[in-house]
Amino acid sequence: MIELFGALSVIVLILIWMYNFLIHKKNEVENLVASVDTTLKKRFDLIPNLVRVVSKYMEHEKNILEKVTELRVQAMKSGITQKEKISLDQKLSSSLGAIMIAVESYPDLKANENMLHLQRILHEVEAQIAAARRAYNQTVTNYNNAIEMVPTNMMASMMKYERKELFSIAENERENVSINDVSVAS
Amino acid sequence: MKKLSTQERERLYAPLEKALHQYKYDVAKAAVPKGLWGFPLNIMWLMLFPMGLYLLNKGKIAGGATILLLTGLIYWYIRRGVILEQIKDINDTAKFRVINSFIELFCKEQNVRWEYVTYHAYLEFKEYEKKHIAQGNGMELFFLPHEQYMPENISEEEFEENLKSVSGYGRADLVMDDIITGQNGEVAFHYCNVSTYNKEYGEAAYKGELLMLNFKNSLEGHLYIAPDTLEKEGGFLGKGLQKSIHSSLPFENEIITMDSPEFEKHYVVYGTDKILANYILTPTFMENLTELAKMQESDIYIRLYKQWMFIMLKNSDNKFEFSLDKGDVPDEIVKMHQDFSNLLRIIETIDFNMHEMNIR
Repeated sequence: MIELFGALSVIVLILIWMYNFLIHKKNEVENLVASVDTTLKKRFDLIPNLVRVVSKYMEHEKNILEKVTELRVQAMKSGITQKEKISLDQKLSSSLGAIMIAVESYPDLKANENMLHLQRILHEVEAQIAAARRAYNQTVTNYNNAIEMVPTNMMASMMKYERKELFSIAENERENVSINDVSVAS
Repeated sequence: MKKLSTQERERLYAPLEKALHQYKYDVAKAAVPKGLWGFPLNIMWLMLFPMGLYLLNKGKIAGGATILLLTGLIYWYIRRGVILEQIKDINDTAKFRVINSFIELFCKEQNVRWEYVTYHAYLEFKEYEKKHIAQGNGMELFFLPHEQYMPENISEEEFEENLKSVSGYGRADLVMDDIITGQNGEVAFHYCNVSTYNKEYGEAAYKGELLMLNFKNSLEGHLYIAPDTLEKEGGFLGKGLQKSIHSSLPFENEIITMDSPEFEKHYVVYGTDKILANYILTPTFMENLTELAKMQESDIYIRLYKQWMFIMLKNSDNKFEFSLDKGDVPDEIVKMHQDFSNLLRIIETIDFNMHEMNIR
């Protein structure tokens, strides 16, 4: 009887540990989601200024600018899923990259002080977003491992935890910005 | 690092070799007793010597021999004292000159702008204040006692805390020697050998190389990077111990797992913020630190806080020292060049010049 009670106690303790472990992992991901959102918001705030400055010069790239504005509106909508958010982030990153490449064709715009300032801030914000994505991915990987590996996968299935999406990290995000482009974030 | 041909190096280092030969010559010359006259003992020696001869002449063998023996002892004592004093002076002065000449040449060779600072000067100048001894050729050389050494732009509390984090010892416990300062792009660096030499902990208790980097912008959090010895040696149990260690660090933190398995093999990261850690430890920067860990046979400890990064390479090497009395001149030049090249390699490997590292 004592042996049975002892074994049951151990099983209950293990179940409690697994439950707490998974809750801890889930909360870590949620914290990171909030941090990623904060850094993404910095980019959303920058887009209207960027569009305003470049639209004066870019006659032939109106469609890219409209696309960026549209993506921003979609990304800022409340209630979008994490999967949609990741997909919009990728589209927005590539559209902004396209704008920055197009800027090279406009020497006046390239030399414009407002544009230079915006480029510096955007570069810095992109570096912060890249860091947030990597931190998020690491945390989500830990979470995904926890819900798929034995023995916590059984508890995760009972708690209806599901795999979470990762951000894809572009190769150019391995490169870093110069100090001259960096501003002290508040 | 710039590669020089053998001929170029020989040409560049010829004046240094000449200076080292001069040093050896000076030391040898000091062996000839000088300044015997005018010293009180010399008068005694001059009076006793004829007296001994006189007594011997008079047949008082024992008395004469005793006095002559005493004379010999006084002569030996005077000679030894003078030689030691002169050699010490020559040593101190020559070492300053030689190292200064060397760094001047090294700066020319590698096109860097470094300064050499050492505490030895207070032995020579008997002063406890910064003293400029040479200026020119894009370099400013100054000596100051190690007890006073602390980079500018950092508070005493911050300096103390950073020092304790990376070494376990405070400023009062450590001797800082062979201080080299310089500028690499936007980042100012300070390098020195540190040890607990002559302190209550004993000579060999702690030795290492400390590199302090001063950035223009300030971090909003802490980051502490240490060798991953515990996990490497102790596996799961080691990881548990790591967690108990991080609670003893002087700031709130957690263990942060980075996304580079190679980096994770060498280091453990403690920090206040995962995003900040990923922001500083970019993949390229992690590669550089991994390279540094492989390159150096040292335990590496790094602390980032506000505008400062302190990097401690814990090892028993005694860098930027030479013993001319024993080694050959070319050997000493090679050793010194290796030490300077190694420092340059560390600096280039870390590549803290912000082209590779972000600070927000």
